[in-house]
Amino acid sequence: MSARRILSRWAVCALVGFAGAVPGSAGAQGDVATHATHLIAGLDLDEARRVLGPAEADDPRIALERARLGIYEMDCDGAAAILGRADVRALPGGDALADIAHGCQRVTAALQSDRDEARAIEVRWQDEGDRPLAPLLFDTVAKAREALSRDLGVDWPRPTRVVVVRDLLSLSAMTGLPYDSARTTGTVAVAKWGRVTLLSPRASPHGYPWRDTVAHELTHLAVTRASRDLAPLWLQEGIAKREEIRWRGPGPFDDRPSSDAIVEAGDAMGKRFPLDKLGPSIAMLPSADDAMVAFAEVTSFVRYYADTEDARTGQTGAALPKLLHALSEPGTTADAALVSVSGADLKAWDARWRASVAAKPRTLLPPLFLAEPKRDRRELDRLREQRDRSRLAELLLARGHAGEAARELDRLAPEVGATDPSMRWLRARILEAAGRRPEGAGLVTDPKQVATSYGPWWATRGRWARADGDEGTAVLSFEAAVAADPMDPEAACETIDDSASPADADRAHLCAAARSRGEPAFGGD
Amino acid sequence: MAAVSLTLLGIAAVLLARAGTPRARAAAAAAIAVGGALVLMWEWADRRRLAGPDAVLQRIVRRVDAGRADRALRALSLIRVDGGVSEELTKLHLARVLADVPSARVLDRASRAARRASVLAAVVGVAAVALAGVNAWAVLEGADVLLARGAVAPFSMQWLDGVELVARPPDYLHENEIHEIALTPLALPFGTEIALRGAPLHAGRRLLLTDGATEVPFVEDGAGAVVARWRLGDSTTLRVVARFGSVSIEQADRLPVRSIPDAAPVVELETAPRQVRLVDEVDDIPIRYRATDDHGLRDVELVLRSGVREERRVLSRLDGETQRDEGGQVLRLRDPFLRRSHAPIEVTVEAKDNDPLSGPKWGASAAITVIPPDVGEPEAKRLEALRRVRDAVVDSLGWRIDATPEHGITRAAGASHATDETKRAAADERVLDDALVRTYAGLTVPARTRALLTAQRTKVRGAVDAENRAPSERTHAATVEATERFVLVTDAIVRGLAMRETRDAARQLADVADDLVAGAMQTQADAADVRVRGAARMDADAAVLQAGGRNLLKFGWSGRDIGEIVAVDCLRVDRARRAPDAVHAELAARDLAARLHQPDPSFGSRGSAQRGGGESGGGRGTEEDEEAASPDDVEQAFDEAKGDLDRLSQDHAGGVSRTEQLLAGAESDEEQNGLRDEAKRHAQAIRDAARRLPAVGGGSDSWTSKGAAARELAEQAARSLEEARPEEAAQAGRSAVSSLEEAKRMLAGGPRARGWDDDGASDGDPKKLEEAARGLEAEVRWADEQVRRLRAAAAQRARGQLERGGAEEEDMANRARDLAQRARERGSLPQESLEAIDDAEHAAREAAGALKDGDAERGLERQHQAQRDLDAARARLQDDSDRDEGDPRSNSSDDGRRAATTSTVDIPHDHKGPEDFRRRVVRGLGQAAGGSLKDAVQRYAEGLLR
Repeated sequence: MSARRILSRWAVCALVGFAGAVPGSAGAQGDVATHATHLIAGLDLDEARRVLGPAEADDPRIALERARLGIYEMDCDGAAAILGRADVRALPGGDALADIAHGCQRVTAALQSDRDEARAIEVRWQDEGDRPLAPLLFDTVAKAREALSRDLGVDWPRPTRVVVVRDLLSLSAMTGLPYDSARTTGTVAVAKWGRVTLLSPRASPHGYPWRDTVAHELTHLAVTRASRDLAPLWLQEGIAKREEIRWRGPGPFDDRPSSDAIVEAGDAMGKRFPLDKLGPSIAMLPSADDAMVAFAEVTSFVRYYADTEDARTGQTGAALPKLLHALSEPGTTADAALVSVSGADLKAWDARWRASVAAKPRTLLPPLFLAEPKRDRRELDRLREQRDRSRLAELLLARGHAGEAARELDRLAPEVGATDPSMRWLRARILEAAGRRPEGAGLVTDPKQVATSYGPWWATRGRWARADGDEGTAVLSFEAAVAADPMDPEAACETIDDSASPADADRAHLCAAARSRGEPAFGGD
Repeated sequence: MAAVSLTLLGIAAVLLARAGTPRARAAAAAAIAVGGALVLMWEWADRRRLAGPDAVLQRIVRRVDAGRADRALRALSLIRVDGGVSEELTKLHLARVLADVPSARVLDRASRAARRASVLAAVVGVAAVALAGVNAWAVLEGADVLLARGAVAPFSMQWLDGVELVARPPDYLHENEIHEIALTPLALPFGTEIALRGAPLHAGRRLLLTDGATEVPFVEDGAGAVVARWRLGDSTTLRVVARFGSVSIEQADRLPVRSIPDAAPVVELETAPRQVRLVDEVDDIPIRYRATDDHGLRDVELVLRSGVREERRVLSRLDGETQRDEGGQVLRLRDPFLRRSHAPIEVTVEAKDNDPLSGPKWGASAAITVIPPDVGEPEAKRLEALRRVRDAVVDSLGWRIDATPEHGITRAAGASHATDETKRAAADERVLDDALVRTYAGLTVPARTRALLTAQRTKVRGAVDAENRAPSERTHAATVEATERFVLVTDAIVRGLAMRETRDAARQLADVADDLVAGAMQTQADAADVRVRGAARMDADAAVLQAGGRNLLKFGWSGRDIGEIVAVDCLRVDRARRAPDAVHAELAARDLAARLHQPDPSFGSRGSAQRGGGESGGGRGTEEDEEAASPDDVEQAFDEAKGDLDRLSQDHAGGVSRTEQLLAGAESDEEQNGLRDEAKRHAQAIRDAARRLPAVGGGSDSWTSKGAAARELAEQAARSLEEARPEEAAQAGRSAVSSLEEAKRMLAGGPRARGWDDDGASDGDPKKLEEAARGLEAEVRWADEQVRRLRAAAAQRARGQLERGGAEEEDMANRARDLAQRARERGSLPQESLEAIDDAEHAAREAAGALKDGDAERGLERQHQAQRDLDAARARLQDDSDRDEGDPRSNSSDDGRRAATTSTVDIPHDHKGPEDFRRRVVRGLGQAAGGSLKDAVQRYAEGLLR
C-alpha cells in the first residue's frame, strides 16, 4: 500500500472519528465533505464512500458529495434524487451537478452494457448496435491502461467505466460540455466524472480514430488521478496527445502532420495560444482550427519538455511521472511543480520550446489543414471541379457505369486529390469495378502517400493485399480500417461480397452490424 | 244485536281507513277484525251458557224462584244416582218438581229481556244507518282505500265530469294546439303542455293528474272547474286520481299519450363510411353532406378527430328552423390537421338541432377514416421519385460519355446517334415530368425545385437539339456537359431535400416522443384506468415513432443517422416497459424527445474539414454540414435570378405608378371644373340606370346580392363623376356592369339550378337588368372618353416628364433582357419564366416608345402589360407551399336555407401579393391628395414604393 494511501486512510479515520465525536457539528461535516471532494477528484471512490458513509446525511454539503460520488459511480438515479433537494442545489456547483445527474440519468436509462470482469472494464452502449465493438474496446482500454501505468506510474481505480453515446447531444448531457462547444470543435470524447464518454464511431459518416481517442481519454483519467486533478490544461492535453498513440505500435499517421508544423502554420495565421491561457477546455475554443493549433502546441511542448528533461536527468521516461507527482503535493502550483522538478517555470520552458520550434525547418501542411478560406477564383473553380467530378464518378459507379466514372475522374488534373485518401479510394474502386485493378494498385499501396487515415482506403488496401497473397499487409490494413471506420462494411467485413463474412466471430458480428445500416457504398443517397 | 254492532263498527272503520295513511288503514282493519271476533265469541259463550237442564235451572229459573229451582236440581241429580232408587220413581219425581216450576214467570222474565235487547239493537242499527247515510260515498271511498293494494285502490271511481283537453306543442315547433273533449289516445311532440280541465264530481277530493310516477294537482280555474297542466316527456298514460293519504283511487278512463321525441339531426356524408389512405390519394378529399332534422338545425360542423385531438370547423350556421342543409367542403390533403396527425383521423359531419327543452342534440354522420401516412412517408416517396430522375439522368450521362465520338462523326452514325439522343432526352423528360406532376399524399415537388429541374431539362434539350442540327464533337461535348449539370443539380436537390426532410420529420416525431413521455408518466399514476390509458398511448406513439424512424432511413445519411436513433431509443423504451420499469421508460422517452427536438447531425464540426480536434481526437464534420455551408451554385444562380426578377418587378411597378400619378396629377383646375358640370348630368344618368336594381341583397349566392352590389358600385361611379374623377368612375362603372352580368347569369340559371330558393317572391327580370347594364355601359364609355381626353391633355403638358418615364422604361426593358440572358446562360430560371420576362421586355420597349412619343394612354397600357408579364414570371417561381396551408374551402349554404349543389368553391389563385397592395395604396394616396398635403403624401407614397 502506498504511503499516500496510508496517509489518506489515516485522515479518513481521523475525520470520521472527529465527526462522530462531535455529532451534528457543522464544521466537522464541512471537513468531511471537503475531504470527500478531494478523494473523488483523485478517483479514490472507495475511500470517498467510506468517508461519507457515517457522515450526517442531512447536511447539504455531505449530500452534495454523495451525489457527486453517485455520478462518478454511474448511480445517476441516486444522484438525481439527492439533487432534488433545494438546499443541496443551492450550494456552489449544485445546479451544475444536478444538470449532469439529470443528463446522465436520461442518457443512460435502460441501456445495455457489457463487462469484462477479468479486466474490470464496464461499457454502456447508448446504441446497442455498437456492441460488436466491445472486444476491440476492451482490448484498447486494457492496453492503454497498461501503457499509462508504465509511462506515468499511476494505478487505476476499478472498474474503468466507458459510456459510448450516439451523438453530441448525449455527450454534452453526460459531461456538461456545452452542446454548441461540442459541435464547434468536433469533440468526440470527454473524460470527466471518473469515466470516459465516447461518441460512437457510427455518428460520423466515415468514423474517426476512436481507439486512439479512448487511449487519449484514459490518459486524462490517469493524469487526473496522478495529480489529484490539479494538472493544468496544457499538461493534461499534452500528455494525452503524447499517450494516445503509445498503447499500440507506431502508425503511419502518428504525428502527421507534425505538431511543430501545425504550430508554425498557426503562428503564421496569428493563432498562438499561451499555454496557461487555454481556458477551461480546448473543446471550448472558438473553432476547430483553433483547437487543432492548441492541441499541436501542447503536444509539441510536452514532448519537448519530456525529451529535454529525460535527456538532462538521463532517466528515460521519468520526467512526466516526476512532474505529476510534484503536482499532487498539497498546495502546489504548476509553476512550483515545474521549478521543483526541472528548475525552470512555465514561462521559461515556453520560451525555450518556442525557440526550438522556430529553429526547426519549416514543413508545409497537407491541403485542407488549417486552410484559409479560398478566395482565389481559380482555386475555387478547381475545388468545385474536383467536387463535381468525383460526385459524378460516384453516381456513375453506383449505376454501373464504371468506365464512364473513370473517364470523369480522368478529366481532373493528375495532381488533384493526389493525397486525398477518399479520392484515391474512389478511383481504386472505379478501376476495380471496370476490371482495371492493376492500373490502380499504386493508389492504395503506401500510407505515406495519403494525408490522413481513411477507413475505406485501408479496407480496399487490405482486400487487394489479401487478393495478392500479402496477408500481413491485409491484416494490418483491416486493423487500421476498423480503428478508423469500424462501421464501414468493407472495413468490418473485409470484403465487398455481401454474402461473405469474416471467419472470426467477433469480426463477423461487427460485419453484420455494419451491413445492417444499409449504407450505400456510392452515391445512392 | 251483534250483527248491527258489527256493521256499525265496520262503517266507522272504513271512514277511518279513508284517511289513507298506513296507520289509519291498519287501525280500521284491526277494528273490523276485533269486532267480528267479539261477536263470534259472544255467540259461542251464549250457547255454552244455556247448554243442559242444569244450566237452564241455574241461570234462568233460579232467578225467578230459587226454591223450586233447587228442588228441580236435586230431583235431577237423583236420576244420575245408580242403584237404590227406582228409575221410574225418580223420573216421576222430577216431572212433578218441574211441573211445579213457575214457567209463566220464567217466560215473562225472558220476554222482558228480549224486548230490552231488541230496543238496544234497533238504536244501534239506526245509528249505523244514519252514519252510512251521511257518508255513503266516503264509506265507499274508505272501503276502496282499505282494500288498496300497492297504494292504488282496486275499484275506480269517476272524479271529473265534462273533461276537456288542450295540448300545446313547444313554441319552437310552431305547431297548433290540439283540443279534445275526451281522454282518447294522443301522439304529441315531446315537451307538449297538456292542460286537462273538468268539473269535480265530489268536492273536497284532492284530485291529481298522474302517470304513476309524477303527479300534478288539479287546481281551481276560477270558473268552477279544476285544471291540471302536464309537460309531456316520454310516452305515458295519464290518469286522473283522487289522493287519500298514500292511496289513490283512479278514474276509470285514462289518457294514453305517445311522446314524439325531437330526434337528433340525421347527417349523411357522401361516400362514408370508408377509409382513405392519405398516401395513396392524389386529389383532395371531397366532403359532401346532407343534414336534416325533424324540427330545425342550428349548426353544421366538420369534425376531425385523431387520438385525443379534436378540431371542429363550422360548415353552416343556421337559424334553428331550417330542417335541411346541404353543402360541401374540400379537405385538403395538406390540411394542417391531417399533417399534424399521425394516428387515424375520423372525419365526420355533425349537425346540431335547436331543441331548447332537452338541450341541443348532435347528430353525426358516418365517418370517413383518413389513415395518415407514416411520418416522412410522403416525403420519402417524393425523394424516391427525384432519385429516379437522378438515376435516369445519370444513365443518360453514362450513355453520352460512352457515345462520345473519338474520330469524327460519319453522316450515318450521326443520324443514328441523333435518333438515340432524342429518344433518351424524351425518356428522361418523361421521368422528370412524372416526378414533377405527381402528388405524394398531398405533397408536391416544391415550385423552386420544379423551376430548377425544368431549367436544366431545357438546357439539355437545347444541347441535344443543337447536336442533332450540327453533329460534332463540340456539340456532343456540350450535351455531355449539360447532362452533367443536370445530374449535379438533381443530386444537390435530392441531398438538400433529404436533409431538410430529415429535420422536418424529426420535428414531427419529436411531438410524438413528447406524447410518449406523457404516456410514460401516465403509466406511473396510481389510478389503474390512467395507467391503462398511458400504456395504450405509449403503444400508439411507439408505433408511429417506429414507422417514422423507418422512413427516416430513406433520407440519406442524415436520415439514417436520426432514424437509427429513433429505432434504438424505441428499443430502450420498450425494454424498460417490459422490465417493468416505468421510470426508466419515461427517461428513455425523454432522451429520444430531446434528441428529436435537436435534429442536428449526431456529429458535426463547424470548423474546417479534416481533423479539427476537440477535447479528444477531433474529427471532420459531416458531409452534409460541409455542403450545407456552400449551397450549390445552380441554386445560388436561381436565388440571384429570382432576386433580380423581384427587384425588377418592384422597380417597374414604381415606374407604372409614377406614370399614373403623372397623368392623374396633370389635370388642370380649369379642365376639372369644365368636366364637373357635365359630369353631374352623367352621374344622374348612372343613378337613373341603377334605380330599379335591388337595394339589398338576399344572400351571397342570389342574383339580388349581385344586383345590389351593382347598384352600390353605380352609386360610387356617380359620386366619382360628381367629384370629377372619371377614371375611378369608369372603374366603378365597369365593376357594376360586371356585377349585373353575373346577376343575369344567376337569374338565367334559375333558383333550382343555382341551389337557392329564397327568391321565389322576388321578381327578377332579366330585361330590367339588361336595361340597367346598357345604361351603365354608356356612361362608362363616356367616363373612359373623358379619361382619355384628360390624359391626352395632361400628357401634352407633361411631355417632358413622359419622355423621362420612357427612358426609365427602356432601362427596365434592358434589365429584363439582361436578366433573361443571364438566366439562359446559367440555366437558372425555367422556360416559362424566361418567356414571360421576354414578353415583359417587349411590352416595356413598346411602352418606352409610346411614352417618348407622348402617347401616354398607350404607354401606360403597355406598362401595365409589362408589369403583368413580370408578375407572371415571378408567379412561376413562387413556391406553392403556403397555399397548401390555407383555410379549407367551403361552399356550405350560408344561411342554412339554401343548399349548395357543388362541392367545391374555387379560391382565386391570382394572389397579387404585397406589391399589388402597395401599388394600390400608392395610387390611392397619390391621386386623392390635394392641397397643402399633396407633396407630403406624394413623398410618403414614394417611400412606400421604395
